[in-house]
Order: sequence, then structure tokens, then C-alpha cells
Amino acid sequence: MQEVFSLQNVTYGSILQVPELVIPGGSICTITGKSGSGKTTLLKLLNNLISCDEGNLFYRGTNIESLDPVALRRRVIMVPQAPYIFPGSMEDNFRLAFHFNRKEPPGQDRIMKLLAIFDLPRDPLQDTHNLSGGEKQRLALIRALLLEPETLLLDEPTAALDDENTEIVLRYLADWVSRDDRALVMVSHGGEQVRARSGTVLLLNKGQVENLHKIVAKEADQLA
Amino acid sequence: MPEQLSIETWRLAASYFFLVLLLLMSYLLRLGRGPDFVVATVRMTIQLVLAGYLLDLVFGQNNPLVTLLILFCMQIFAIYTIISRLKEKISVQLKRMVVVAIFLGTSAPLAYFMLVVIAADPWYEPRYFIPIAGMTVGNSMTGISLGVERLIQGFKVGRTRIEEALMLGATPQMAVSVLLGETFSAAIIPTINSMLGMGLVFIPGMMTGQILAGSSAVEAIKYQIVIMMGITGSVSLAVYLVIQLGYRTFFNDRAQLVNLQ
Repeated sequence: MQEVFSLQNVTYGSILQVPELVIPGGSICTITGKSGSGKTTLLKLLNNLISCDEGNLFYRGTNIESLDPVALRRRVIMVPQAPYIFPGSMEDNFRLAFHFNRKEPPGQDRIMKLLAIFDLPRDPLQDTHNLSGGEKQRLALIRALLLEPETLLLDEPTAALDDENTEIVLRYLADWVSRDDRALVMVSHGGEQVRARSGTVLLLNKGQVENLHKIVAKEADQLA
Repeated sequence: MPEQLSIETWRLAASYFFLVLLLLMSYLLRLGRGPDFVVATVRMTIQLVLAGYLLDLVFGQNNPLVTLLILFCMQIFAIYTIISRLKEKISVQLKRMVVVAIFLGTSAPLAYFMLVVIAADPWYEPRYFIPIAGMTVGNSMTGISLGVERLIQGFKVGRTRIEEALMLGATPQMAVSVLLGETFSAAIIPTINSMLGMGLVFIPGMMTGQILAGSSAVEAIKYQIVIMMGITGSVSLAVYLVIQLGYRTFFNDRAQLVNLQ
């Protein structure tokens, strides 16, 4: 398994202290832990939306601070827990994402395929105003997936989804990350469903990494 | 050209009858604000008398440095007013951008105006330069105030939108392009609105002054048109500069949003 992110003595205020951590690619890496344990902060550090106060953070062997931050974010895309959906239609959202990412918009068939898989309205011209919370979350996920990033950082991607949709999303993501040297880091409170699809489960407790192994579900439940 | 009517002292004093009227209404409405109205009227009188004598003195001199010094004082006063009027505390970097916007945004259009449009001889002719500089700086000051206020609010309210764009790989400029457009429009709307109503809803003060001073209405209108165009140019440039330079102060060199105070 290739080492995608590597952290050495990373601190961010009093929120996060990570002496050493390696995040591999090829399978879903889930970060779990109580509220306020620094999970979202860790994702933002990986996206370079914030920089650590001390320590070093490497992405595929290169110190993140020596990489162009915008170029990095075009390769490592983050989807927050409550994603912002830009006003207009679903297609407007895809077009804008491709404009930000400086890429050519995808063909209609790819969009239609993802809309169908994630059970969203089939008309890309439909206004996003009337979408439910779960639909907006899936739309943000599709928006990120269409950009074909090397790495996806997802903050609670299944929080607003029912069990059936959670399973659809997780199955798709597990398949997606297994190809083309990709990586996927996901923050989740999710239970067995999430852990079953994860190659690695990382537990954050009071801003410190307590474990980084494939930990058994019962143990993780007790710790989280 | 009709002869200019000179206002005799007793007639000038008679105009204060309107203050008496205001005080009477204030009394009838039990406003209790009579002293405020008296102070405002006295201040207006003293300020204008002083300004009149000062302007007479300035118009009489023939030194470009004095004219430029007066422009500089106006710009400094405008910067002070903008910063002190803001409800939010702003960063030192943003204050610097306000300074640049006022100096560049008013000096460049003013230079074009004096050299090309008015073509006064000499270019620093105080009788033209100072009133036009006053209007340009004053209107740009209002535009920049509005622009900075909207920019700060935009970053506060629209933080999620900007962060989302950054996460998708946007440059800071891409992430704020909508906000900058909205801010620019909001800041120049008062100037555009005043153009729409001009001549229909109201006769501008400068034009009224010229007509009262004996100029023909058509000549006064020509002046008013060029002044309005000068003001529009200056306000647009000053607001454009402050938002284009200002938004950068909300990001660090890692293209990350900085925390607002």
C-alpha cells in the first residue's frame, strides 16, 4: 500500500498533536473520534486549507508547504460536512467546479451515469434550490468525483444519508479508491457499515492519534 | 449674461428665518433637539465663512505646490474619514489598500480631467482644480467606504462559499469573483443613481451655484456633465482598486483564508 500522507510532529493550536502518522492509499482510510477531537482540522491540513503550526506534512513524499497550494487542491479535493451548493442548476455547479479546477467539463453521459448511481434527479438542469440535505451532499460528492482527483477528503459524506444510500455511496467510493493509485480519507462517525468498507480506521482522541490500524469494530465503538 | 445678484447682509440674515421655523416645529413636536439645530447652523455658518476666506486666499495664489498640498490634505482627510467611519476593525494591510485606492483612484482621473477635459491654463488653476478635486475625492471616499464595508461583510457571510471554491481548486481570485462583482456594483450604485435622477429629480448643487452666479444654464450643464463623468470615473477606479487590492489581504501566501477579527 502506497504511503500518501505522512505527518511528523504536526501540531495545530491545542486542537491537534500528531507525533507520527502515515495514511495509505488504495482503500478508504476512515478517521473517527468524538466531536472536537480534531478530525475536520486534520482534513483541512491535508487539503492545505490551513497550515500546521509545527511539524511536517508530506503528500506523496513532498512537503506540502513546498507545493503550490492551489495546484495541490486541484489534486486533493475536499468535500466538507455541509457542502456549499452554488446557486443555479446542478450543471452550473459542475461547470463552476471545472472552472475552479481548470479542467474541461465532462461529457453528459458521465454526469448522467453518476446522477443515476447516486440516485439524484436525472435532469442536470434542475435547480439545486429544492434538493434535500442528503441530495445536496451527494451532489457535492459527484461534483468532486467528476473532477477525477488523485485524492478525496470527505467530511462525514454519509451523515445526511439513509442506510440504503450510505451503502451505495460507500460501495462506489471503495471501488473508486482501489483504482489508479487513488487515495480517500474520510471523517465519519459511521458504525459498522463504514468500517466494513474501510481499509484503515484511524482514531483521534483529544487531538491525538490513538491508533492507526485496521481496528475491530467493537474496539472502535468503545473508543469513539 | 445676466448680472449676478449680490446678497446684501440683511438678506443673508433673513435666510436664518428658516432656522426659526425649524426651531418652532421642533418645539411644537416636543423634539427637544433645538440646541442641536442651532449648533449645526452655527457650525455650517462658521465653516463656510472660513472656507470662503480660505478659498479666496487660495484662488489668489499662483503656486502649483499649494494646490497639490490642498489636494493631499483632502485625500488624507478622506482616508481618515473612511477608516474612522467603518463599523468593523480592519487589518493594517487593508488600511494600506485604502490609502493606495484614494491616492491613485482620485489623482489619476483628476490629472486626466484637468489636462484633457478642462484643459485649464495653468493646469493647477485653483479656481477649477480645488472644487473639482473636492467633488472627486468626496465621492470616491463614499464609494470606498461602501466598498470596504461590503467586502468585509462579504468575507464574513460568504466564508463557506469561498472555502468551498478553494477546496475545489479555485485560486483566491476565482473564489471571490462573485463577491467582488457584487461589492463593486453596491459601491458605485449611489453614483449611478445620482446620474439617473440628475436634471429630472434635482438640479445639482454645483450647477445651481453656477446658474445663480450668472452662467447660462446650457454652460452650467456642460460643466455638470463633465464633472459627473469625472466623478464616475474616479469613484469606479477608486472602488475597483480597493476591492482588487483589498481582497488579497483576506488571504495569506498559502492561498488560505485568514481569520477575521
